[in-house]
Amino acid sequence: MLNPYTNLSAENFWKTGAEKQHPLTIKGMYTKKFSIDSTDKIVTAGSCFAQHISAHLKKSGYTILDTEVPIGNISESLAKRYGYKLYSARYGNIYYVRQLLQLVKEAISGFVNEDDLVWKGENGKFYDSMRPTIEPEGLKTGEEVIAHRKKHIDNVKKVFTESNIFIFTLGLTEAWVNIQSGRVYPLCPGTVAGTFDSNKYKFVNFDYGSIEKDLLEFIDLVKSINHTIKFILTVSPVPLTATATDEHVIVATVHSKSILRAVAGSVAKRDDVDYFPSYEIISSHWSKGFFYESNMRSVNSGGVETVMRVFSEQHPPLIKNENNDTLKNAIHRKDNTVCDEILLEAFSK
Amino acid sequence: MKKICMIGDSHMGCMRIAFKKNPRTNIDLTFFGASASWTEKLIFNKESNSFGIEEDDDDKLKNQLIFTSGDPAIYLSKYDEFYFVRGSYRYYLELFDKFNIFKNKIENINYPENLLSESLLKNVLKEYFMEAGNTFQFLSKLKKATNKPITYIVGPCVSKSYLKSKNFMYKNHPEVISNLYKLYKETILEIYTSIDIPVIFQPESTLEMEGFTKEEFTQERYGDKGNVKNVPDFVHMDSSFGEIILNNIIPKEEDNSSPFNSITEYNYIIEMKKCSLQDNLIFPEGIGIVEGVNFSNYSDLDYYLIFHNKENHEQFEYIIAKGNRKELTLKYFNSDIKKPYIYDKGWFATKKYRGLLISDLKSGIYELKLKIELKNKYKTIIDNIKGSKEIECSNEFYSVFIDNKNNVMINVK
Repeated sequence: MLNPYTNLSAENFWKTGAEKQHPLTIKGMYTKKFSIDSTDKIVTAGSCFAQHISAHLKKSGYTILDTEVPIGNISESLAKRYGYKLYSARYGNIYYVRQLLQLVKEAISGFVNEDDLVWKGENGKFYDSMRPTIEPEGLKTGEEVIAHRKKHIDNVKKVFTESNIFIFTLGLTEAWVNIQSGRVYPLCPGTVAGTFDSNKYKFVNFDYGSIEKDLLEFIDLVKSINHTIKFILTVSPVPLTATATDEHVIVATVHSKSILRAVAGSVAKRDDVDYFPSYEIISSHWSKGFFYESNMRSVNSGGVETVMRVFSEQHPPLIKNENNDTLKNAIHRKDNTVCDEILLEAFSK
Repeated sequence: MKKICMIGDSHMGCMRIAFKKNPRTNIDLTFFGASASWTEKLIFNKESNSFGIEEDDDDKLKNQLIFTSGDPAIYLSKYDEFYFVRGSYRYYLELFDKFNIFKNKIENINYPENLLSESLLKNVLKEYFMEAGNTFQFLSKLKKATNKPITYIVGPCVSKSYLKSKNFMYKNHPEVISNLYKLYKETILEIYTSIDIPVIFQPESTLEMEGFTKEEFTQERYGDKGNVKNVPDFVHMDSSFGEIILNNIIPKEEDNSSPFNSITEYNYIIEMKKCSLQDNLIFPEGIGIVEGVNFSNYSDLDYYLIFHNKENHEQFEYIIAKGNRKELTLKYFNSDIKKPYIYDKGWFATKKYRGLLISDLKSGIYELKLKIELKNKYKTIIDNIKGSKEIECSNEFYSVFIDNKNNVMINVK
């Protein structure tokens, strides 16, 4: 007898789609909604898991738009310590959809809101409260923070206007906001810099409605300046480090991730938005924690590779083009002709 | 007799010539010289306790070592002390050339236009100088191989003609180079302090604007560089420069024909007499004289005010002015010395008494030192400035106070 399940593929059934699949070789978890061409300029943003996506795409030869390139060929590790080469500009991790919305509003208007922008660190240096880890040692003055931010915002605008594909990883729902302005901060004031003041800041756990509204507003705003841009959404599989709610951290994590996953799924119904299931690959109970480190929070390299393999099945790697002119080459540039003469002269008897 | 080993590159040449012109008979000085990063080819041989070149490897270099020192290898047990000379500032400029900084429009050290912060720049420099010219690697190896004192003499800055050759864009912003130079010094100091090796930078008196060696020290020579003919040498300095550096480490024996030159131990008075503060300006004034040395002309000496952080050994040095106080000669006239000495210009103060901007000082407690460079004697005296409670002062940023040894201190809040 025929029923709606009769002609479904193996991936639709738990036994064939999950039970009989090994985490490292699972197939068919993702079918792309649109292609990414070699000419497409990709933007990546989101919580820290998004850095893996960005790195993988770069390695695969895709064009990751980078509007804030470090001056000179500084080492990869130093560049990353200062927020370069992580995303398409030095905005650092964007954990909240509200944070992303704030950024696009700032970029489109070109207006840098200086209210509570500058935080002072314990070392006496000054930090951009919207990206406090970008300058790990801080800046000398508050004015410098503002000058850097203005330039940064110019570059962020290019991110939104010049890209074709925007990949965003939704990370968290629990945030700290300014009571008066409603501004959301990537990190709780008083952690990296700033001072926590309960009269000034409050805890917010964004709900489904507000996140969906923010995400749709973000998409509409970006489309208003770049109408052909397409979006790929993912949800970070990295659990909360801590919760500020009264709930157990596991309960709070599932609550947050469920909301983010549901919002992403709902928004991805649009033709110009795709959803990629990195969250499911890593955190589904089917994989039995196989892709987590022993702390059951950090994603191991096998997990990242599997996620990217699934992604690559639909968006295969392109030919890569490496730039080999490294700092080391610059250092070892040798031109000794003049020096030889000088020494010979000095030591002539 | 102290046996000194000086290892270096082409920037050691000026010291070798200076030594040849003015030999010091109280030391035995051996130079090991070759060009550029030659020390990367040196291998430590535990058995012979020496740094040398492997058999059959680079005969040219081996010959250069024999030519300069007489030995094919540096035998550590032969020497009491080691100096290492390396022209890192040249690398520094090459680095910025490479980074296209000379072609970019940069208005100040913090580079907001390029989103390059001072801390990042410092880390870029640090990363670079940990690699450049094999200096750090070699000195680390040398330090590991011997307990004897090792000092790093940083090669000279290029002369200003370099700017012309690079179509320099900062002529209206000389502070960019000064700030870079300051940062460069801080970085080098940080790197070598980490392996406990003292650093000697070129004296401020040889710089015409912080970061460039005075043209007068540049060798008047041209050379060929690859296919380019007659390239001026703005990198290597002459023997008068070499003499100044050499005097910092191995003072020339005094000329006994002159009565004051017979003084081997200098007695000096360094004392702050007045001090006030206004915002970020400090107005110190006082006596800085050396007994038996004439301070009759302004050109006889230079004063530098040094702020030394005792905790992290960070040091800030500023050139300050000389004032004329005839009463000093009268006060410090010593009738026991046959020849009277003039101390008229032995008064330190700030330029035109307009104060010294010290906003660069980071928070902390610093002791104030005075550096007196005696131009005619190639001698530099540095010591703590003494003072009495009357000079104590403070404002919202700083407070100047006297410690229990009567040293003048400043607390940068």
